Amino acid sequence: MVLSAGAQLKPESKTNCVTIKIVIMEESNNLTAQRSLEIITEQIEPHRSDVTKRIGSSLLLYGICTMVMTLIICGLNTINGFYHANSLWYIMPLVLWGANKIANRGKTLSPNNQIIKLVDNSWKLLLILSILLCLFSVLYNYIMMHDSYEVYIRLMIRPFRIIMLMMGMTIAFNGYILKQKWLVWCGIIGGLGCFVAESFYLPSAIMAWTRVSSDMYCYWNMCIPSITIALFSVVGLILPGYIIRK
Amino acid sequence: MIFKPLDPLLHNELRLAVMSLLISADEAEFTYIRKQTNATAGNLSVQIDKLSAAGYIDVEKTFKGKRPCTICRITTKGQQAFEAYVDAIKNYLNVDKNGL
Repeated sequence: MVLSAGAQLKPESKTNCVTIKIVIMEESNNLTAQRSLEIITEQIEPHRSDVTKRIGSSLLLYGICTMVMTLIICGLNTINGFYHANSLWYIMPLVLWGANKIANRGKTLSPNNQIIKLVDNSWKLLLILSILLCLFSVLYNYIMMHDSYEVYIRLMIRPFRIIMLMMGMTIAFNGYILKQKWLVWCGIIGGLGCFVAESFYLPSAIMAWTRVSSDMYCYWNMCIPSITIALFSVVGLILPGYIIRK
Repeated sequence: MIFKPLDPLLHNELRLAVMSLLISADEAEFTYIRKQTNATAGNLSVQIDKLSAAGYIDVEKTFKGKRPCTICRITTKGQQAFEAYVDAIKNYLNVDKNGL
Protein backbone atom coordinates (compact mmCIF):
# COMPACT_ATOMS: atom_id res chain seq x y z
CA MET A 1 0.00 0.00 0.00
CA VAL A 2 1.31 3.43 -0.88
CA LEU A 3 -0.09 6.55 0.73
CA SER A 4 -0.79 9.33 -1.71
CA ALA A 5 -2.24 12.41 -0.13
CA GLY A 6 -2.63 14.32 -3.35
CA ALA A 7 -4.48 11.53 -5.10
CA GLN A 8 -7.14 11.17 -2.44
CA LEU A 9 -7.66 14.71 -1.17
CA LYS A 10 -7.53 18.03 -2.86
CA PRO A 11 -6.56 20.71 -0.34
CA GLU A 12 -7.86 24.15 -1.18
CA SER A 13 -5.42 26.27 0.77
CA LYS A 14 -1.90 25.91 2.14
CA THR A 15 -3.17 25.62 5.72
CA ASN A 16 -5.54 22.78 4.79
CA CYS A 17 -2.73 21.17 2.93
CA VAL A 18 -0.51 21.09 6.02
CA THR A 19 -3.34 19.76 8.21
CA ILE A 20 -4.07 16.93 5.78
CA LYS A 21 -0.35 16.11 5.62
CA ILE A 22 -0.06 15.93 9.42
CA VAL A 23 -3.14 13.69 9.69
CA ILE A 24 -1.82 11.31 7.05
CA MET A 25 1.63 11.12 8.63
CA GLU A 26 0.24 10.54 12.09
CA GLU A 27 -1.93 7.72 10.82
CA SER A 28 1.13 5.89 9.66
CA ASN A 29 3.09 4.99 12.80
CA ASN A 30 2.97 8.50 14.26
CA LEU A 31 6.07 9.32 12.28
CA THR A 32 6.36 12.95 11.24
CA ALA A 33 8.53 14.22 8.41
CA GLN A 34 10.90 15.81 10.90
CA ARG A 35 11.23 12.58 12.88
CA SER A 36 11.88 10.64 9.67
CA LEU A 37 14.72 12.96 8.76
CA GLU A 38 16.04 12.74 12.32
CA ILE A 39 16.14 8.94 12.10
CA ILE A 40 17.99 9.09 8.79
CA THR A 41 20.52 11.60 10.19
CA GLU A 42 20.93 9.62 13.44
CA GLN A 43 21.93 6.54 11.47
CA ILE A 44 24.07 8.16 8.80
CA GLU A 45 26.06 10.66 10.89
CA PRO A 46 27.65 8.27 13.45
CA HIS A 47 28.50 5.85 10.65
CA ARG A 48 30.16 8.64 8.68
CA SER A 49 32.25 9.67 11.68
CA ASP A 50 33.13 6.00 12.34
CA VAL A 51 34.29 5.63 8.76
CA THR A 52 36.40 8.81 8.90
CA LYS A 53 38.07 7.66 12.12
CA ARG A 54 38.74 4.24 10.63
CA ILE A 55 40.39 5.74 7.54
CA GLY A 56 42.45 8.01 9.81
CA SER A 57 43.60 5.08 11.94
CA SER A 58 44.52 3.02 8.86
CA LEU A 59 46.56 5.85 7.35
CA LEU A 60 48.31 6.42 10.68
CA LEU A 61 49.11 2.72 11.03
CA TYR A 62 50.38 2.41 7.43
CA GLY A 63 52.46 5.55 7.92
CA ILE A 64 54.09 4.33 11.12
CA CYS A 65 54.81 0.91 9.60
CA THR A 66 56.33 2.48 6.48
CA MET A 67 58.48 4.81 8.54
CA VAL A 68 59.72 2.07 10.86
CA MET A 69 60.50 -0.12 7.84
CA THR A 70 62.43 2.69 6.11
CA LEU A 71 64.47 3.33 9.25
CA ILE A 72 65.27 -0.38 9.62
CA ILE A 73 66.25 -0.66 5.94
CA CYS A 74 68.29 2.54 6.07
CA GLY A 75 70.08 1.32 9.21
CA LEU A 76 70.84 -2.12 7.76
CA ASN A 77 72.03 -0.62 4.46
CA THR A 78 74.43 1.74 6.18
CA ILE A 79 75.75 -0.97 8.52
CA ASN A 80 76.35 -3.45 5.69
CA GLY A 81 77.32 -0.88 3.12
CA PHE A 82 75.15 -2.67 0.55
CA TYR A 83 71.61 -2.30 -0.73
CA HIS A 84 70.65 -5.88 0.23
CA ALA A 85 68.32 -4.75 2.99
CA ASN A 86 66.08 -3.18 0.30
CA SER A 87 64.66 -6.63 -0.34
CA LEU A 88 62.89 -6.27 3.01
CA TRP A 89 60.33 -4.13 1.15
CA TYR A 90 58.96 -7.36 -0.30
CA ILE A 91 57.62 -8.38 3.11
CA MET A 92 55.86 -5.01 3.54
CA PRO A 93 52.38 -6.38 2.63
CA LEU A 94 52.83 -9.01 5.34
CA VAL A 95 53.91 -6.37 7.86
CA LEU A 96 50.89 -4.18 7.07
CA TRP A 97 48.51 -7.13 7.21
CA GLY A 98 49.92 -8.20 10.59
CA ALA A 99 49.86 -4.68 12.00
CA ASN A 100 46.26 -4.26 10.83
CA LYS A 101 45.24 -7.54 12.47
CA ILE A 102 46.88 -6.58 15.77
CA ALA A 103 45.42 -3.05 15.74
CA ASN A 104 41.89 -4.25 15.07
CA ARG A 105 41.94 -7.27 17.40
CA GLY A 106 38.84 -7.39 19.56
CA LYS A 107 37.33 -4.26 17.97
CA THR A 108 33.87 -4.14 16.42
CA LEU A 109 34.55 -2.47 13.10
CA SER A 110 31.98 -0.34 11.33
CA PRO A 111 30.95 -1.84 7.98
CA ASN A 112 32.88 -0.95 4.86
CA ASN A 113 31.68 1.67 2.45
CA GLN A 114 32.89 2.96 -0.90
CA ILE A 115 35.29 5.54 0.60
CA ILE A 116 37.03 3.00 2.86
CA LYS A 117 37.32 0.59 -0.06
CA LEU A 118 38.73 3.27 -2.39
CA VAL A 119 41.37 4.44 0.13
CA ASP A 120 42.32 0.87 1.07
CA ASN A 121 42.50 -0.31 -2.52
CA SER A 122 44.55 2.68 -3.68
CA TRP A 123 47.30 1.80 -1.15
CA LYS A 124 47.07 -1.91 -1.89
CA LEU A 125 47.42 -1.16 -5.60
CA LEU A 126 50.46 1.04 -4.93
CA LEU A 127 52.06 -1.71 -2.87
CA ILE A 128 51.43 -4.41 -5.48
CA LEU A 129 52.61 -2.21 -8.39
CA SER A 130 55.73 -1.17 -6.47
CA ILE A 131 56.69 -4.74 -5.69
CA LEU A 132 56.02 -5.86 -9.28
CA LEU A 133 58.04 -2.94 -10.61
CA CYS A 134 60.92 -3.75 -8.27
CA LEU A 135 60.92 -7.41 -9.29
CA PHE A 136 60.77 -6.49 -12.96
CA SER A 137 63.53 -3.90 -12.66
CA VAL A 138 65.80 -6.35 -10.79
CA LEU A 139 65.32 -8.92 -13.55
CA TYR A 140 65.63 -6.38 -16.37
CA ASN A 141 68.72 -4.74 -14.91
CA TYR A 142 70.31 -8.15 -14.34
CA ILE A 143 69.84 -9.00 -18.02
CA MET A 144 71.00 -5.55 -19.15
CA MET A 145 74.09 -5.82 -16.97
CA HIS A 146 75.55 -8.26 -19.48
CA ASP A 147 75.59 -5.50 -22.08
CA SER A 148 78.16 -2.71 -22.24
CA TYR A 149 78.34 -0.28 -19.31
CA GLU A 150 77.15 2.71 -21.42
CA VAL A 151 74.08 0.83 -22.61
CA TYR A 152 73.36 -0.46 -19.12
CA ILE A 153 73.56 3.02 -17.55
CA ARG A 154 71.24 4.45 -20.18
CA LEU A 155 68.65 1.71 -20.21
CA MET A 156 68.62 0.51 -16.62
CA ILE A 157 65.34 0.92 -14.75
CA ARG A 158 65.47 2.99 -11.57
CA PRO A 159 62.24 2.02 -9.86
CA PHE A 160 62.57 4.44 -6.95
CA ARG A 161 61.53 7.56 -8.89
CA ILE A 162 58.54 5.75 -10.42
CA ILE A 163 57.46 4.46 -7.00
CA MET A 164 57.75 7.98 -5.58
CA LEU A 165 55.66 9.34 -8.45
CA MET A 166 53.00 6.67 -7.87
CA MET A 167 53.07 7.32 -4.13
CA GLY A 168 52.55 11.04 -4.76
CA MET A 169 49.61 10.30 -7.03
CA THR A 170 48.09 7.96 -4.44
CA ILE A 171 48.38 10.68 -1.79
CA ALA A 172 46.76 13.19 -4.18
CA PHE A 173 43.99 10.70 -4.97
CA ASN A 174 43.37 10.13 -1.25
CA GLY A 175 43.26 13.88 -0.68
CA TYR A 176 40.69 14.21 -3.45
CA ILE A 177 38.51 11.46 -1.98
CA LEU A 178 38.79 12.84 1.56
CA LYS A 179 38.25 16.40 0.30
CA GLN A 180 41.58 17.65 1.72
CA LYS A 181 43.02 20.09 -0.81
CA TRP A 182 46.37 20.43 0.96
CA LEU A 183 46.86 16.68 0.68
CA VAL A 184 46.19 16.79 -3.07
CA TRP A 185 48.87 19.46 -3.51
CA CYS A 186 51.31 17.62 -1.22
CA GLY A 187 50.92 14.51 -3.36
CA ILE A 188 51.30 16.29 -6.69
CA ILE A 189 54.25 18.49 -5.67
CA GLY A 190 56.00 15.73 -3.69
CA GLY A 191 55.50 13.03 -6.34
CA LEU A 192 56.52 15.16 -9.31
CA GLY A 193 59.34 16.78 -7.32
CA CYS A 194 60.86 13.43 -6.38
CA PHE A 195 60.47 12.11 -9.91
CA VAL A 196 62.21 15.10 -11.47
CA ALA A 197 64.91 15.21 -8.78
CA GLU A 198 65.69 11.52 -9.20
CA SER A 199 65.54 11.65 -13.00
CA PHE A 200 68.17 14.40 -13.09
CA TYR A 201 70.27 12.91 -10.24
CA LEU A 202 69.65 16.05 -8.19
CA PRO A 203 70.58 14.55 -4.75
CA SER A 204 73.88 13.23 -6.18
CA ALA A 205 74.54 16.58 -7.87
CA ILE A 206 73.93 18.44 -4.60
CA MET A 207 76.30 16.11 -2.76
CA ALA A 208 78.96 16.50 -5.44
CA TRP A 209 78.52 20.25 -5.27
CA THR A 210 79.01 20.26 -1.48
CA ARG A 211 82.21 18.23 -2.04
CA VAL A 212 81.58 15.61 0.61
CA SER A 213 84.03 12.74 1.00
CA SER A 214 83.43 9.64 -1.10
CA ASP A 215 82.45 7.67 2.02
CA MET A 216 79.85 10.26 2.96
CA TYR A 217 78.68 10.34 -0.66
CA CYS A 218 78.03 6.59 -0.63
CA TYR A 219 76.43 6.83 2.80
CA TRP A 220 73.99 9.54 1.76
CA ASN A 221 73.30 7.85 -1.55
CA MET A 222 72.06 4.85 0.44
CA CYS A 223 70.08 6.96 2.90
CA ILE A 224 68.35 9.40 0.55
CA PRO A 225 65.71 6.95 -0.79
CA SER A 226 64.83 5.89 2.77
CA ILE A 227 64.68 9.50 3.99
CA THR A 228 62.42 10.43 1.05
CA ILE A 229 60.05 7.55 1.73
CA ALA A 230 60.03 8.39 5.44
CA LEU A 231 59.14 12.02 4.62
CA PHE A 232 56.41 10.85 2.29
CA SER A 233 54.97 8.57 4.93
CA VAL A 234 54.84 11.50 7.37
CA VAL A 235 53.20 13.91 4.91
CA GLY A 236 51.01 11.45 3.07
CA LEU A 237 50.03 8.99 5.78
CA ILE A 238 50.82 9.97 9.36
CA LEU A 239 49.81 13.64 9.17
CA PRO A 240 46.50 13.17 7.29
CA GLY A 241 45.73 10.13 9.45
CA TYR A 242 46.24 12.19 12.60
CA ILE A 243 44.19 15.13 11.26
CA ILE A 244 41.33 12.94 10.06
CA ARG A 245 41.17 11.05 13.36
CA LYS A 246 41.05 14.32 15.25
CA MET B 1 -0.30 20.95 -4.09
CA ILE B 2 0.10 17.22 -4.76
CA PHE B 3 2.08 15.17 -2.28
CA LYS B 4 4.52 12.57 -3.39
CA PRO B 5 3.52 9.11 -2.14
CA LEU B 6 5.10 7.81 1.06
CA ASP B 7 6.24 4.22 0.97
CA PRO B 8 4.54 2.61 4.01
CA LEU B 9 7.25 -0.03 4.20
CA LEU B 10 9.84 2.63 4.89
CA HIS B 11 7.54 4.79 6.98
CA ASN B 12 8.40 2.94 10.17
CA GLU B 13 11.08 3.93 12.67
CA LEU B 14 13.05 0.71 12.74
CA ARG B 15 12.78 -0.14 9.05
CA LEU B 16 13.80 3.41 8.14
CA ALA B 17 16.74 3.22 10.56
CA VAL B 18 17.88 -0.07 8.99
CA MET B 19 17.61 1.34 5.48
CA SER B 20 19.45 4.55 6.47
CA LEU B 21 22.25 2.49 7.96
CA LEU B 22 22.54 0.26 4.92
CA ILE B 23 22.46 3.17 2.47
CA SER B 24 25.69 4.51 3.99
CA ALA B 25 27.41 1.12 4.22
CA ASP B 26 27.89 -1.52 1.57
CA GLU B 27 26.85 -4.25 3.95
CA ALA B 28 26.30 -4.65 7.67
CA GLU B 29 26.09 -7.54 10.06
CA PHE B 30 22.88 -8.18 11.99
CA THR B 31 24.65 -7.56 15.32
CA TYR B 32 26.00 -4.21 14.12
CA ILE B 33 22.54 -3.11 12.94
CA ARG B 34 21.01 -4.19 16.25
CA LYS B 35 23.63 -2.24 18.18
CA GLN B 36 23.18 0.88 16.08
CA THR B 37 19.40 0.85 16.13
CA ASN B 38 19.00 -0.27 19.77
CA ALA B 39 16.36 -2.75 18.65
CA THR B 40 15.59 -6.17 20.07
CA ALA B 41 16.78 -9.15 18.04
CA GLY B 42 13.21 -10.41 17.50
CA ASN B 43 11.80 -7.09 16.32
CA LEU B 44 14.78 -6.40 14.09
CA SER B 45 14.54 -9.86 12.59
CA VAL B 46 10.86 -9.32 11.71
CA GLN B 47 11.53 -5.92 10.12
CA ILE B 48 14.50 -7.26 8.16
CA ASP B 49 12.32 -10.09 6.86
CA LYS B 50 9.76 -7.53 5.67
CA LEU B 51 12.40 -5.44 3.89
CA SER B 52 13.89 -8.57 2.39
CA ALA B 53 10.47 -9.80 1.20
CA ALA B 54 9.94 -6.45 -0.53
CA GLY B 55 13.29 -6.85 -2.27
CA TYR B 56 14.78 -3.78 -0.59
CA ILE B 57 17.62 -5.71 1.05
CA ASP B 58 19.51 -8.94 0.50
CA VAL B 59 20.07 -11.16 3.50
CA GLU B 60 22.96 -13.59 3.50
CA LYS B 61 23.37 -16.14 6.25
CA THR B 62 26.96 -17.29 6.68
CA PHE B 63 29.33 -18.33 9.44
CA LYS B 64 32.04 -16.28 11.11
CA GLY B 65 34.27 -18.98 12.47
CA LYS B 66 31.82 -21.27 14.20
CA ARG B 67 29.21 -18.60 14.91
CA PRO B 68 26.34 -17.86 12.52
CA CYS B 69 26.48 -14.45 10.94
CA THR B 70 23.71 -12.62 9.06
CA ILE B 71 24.83 -9.99 6.57
CA CYS B 72 22.41 -7.45 5.11
CA ARG B 73 22.94 -5.51 1.89
CA ILE B 74 20.77 -2.88 0.29
CA THR B 75 19.56 -3.67 -3.24
CA THR B 76 19.14 -1.29 -6.18
CA LYS B 77 15.37 -1.45 -5.64
CA GLY B 78 15.95 -0.54 -1.99
CA GLN B 79 18.16 2.40 -2.94
CA GLN B 80 15.54 3.69 -5.35
CA ALA B 81 12.80 3.30 -2.74
CA PHE B 82 14.89 5.12 -0.16
CA GLU B 83 15.62 7.98 -2.56
CA ALA B 84 11.94 8.26 -3.41
CA TYR B 85 11.07 8.27 0.30
CA VAL B 86 13.59 11.04 1.06
CA ASP B 87 12.22 13.06 -1.87
CA ALA B 88 8.70 12.63 -0.54
CA ILE B 89 9.77 13.70 2.95
CA LYS B 90 11.50 16.77 1.49
CA ASN B 91 8.27 17.51 -0.33
CA TYR B 92 6.34 17.39 2.94
CA LEU B 93 8.90 19.55 4.71
CA ASN B 94 8.86 22.18 1.98
CA VAL B 95 5.13 22.52 2.39
CA ASP B 96 5.66 22.69 6.12
CA LYS B 97 8.13 25.55 5.71
CA ASN B 98 5.99 27.45 3.24
CA GLY B 99 2.65 26.65 4.81
CA LEU B 100 3.34 27.47 8.46
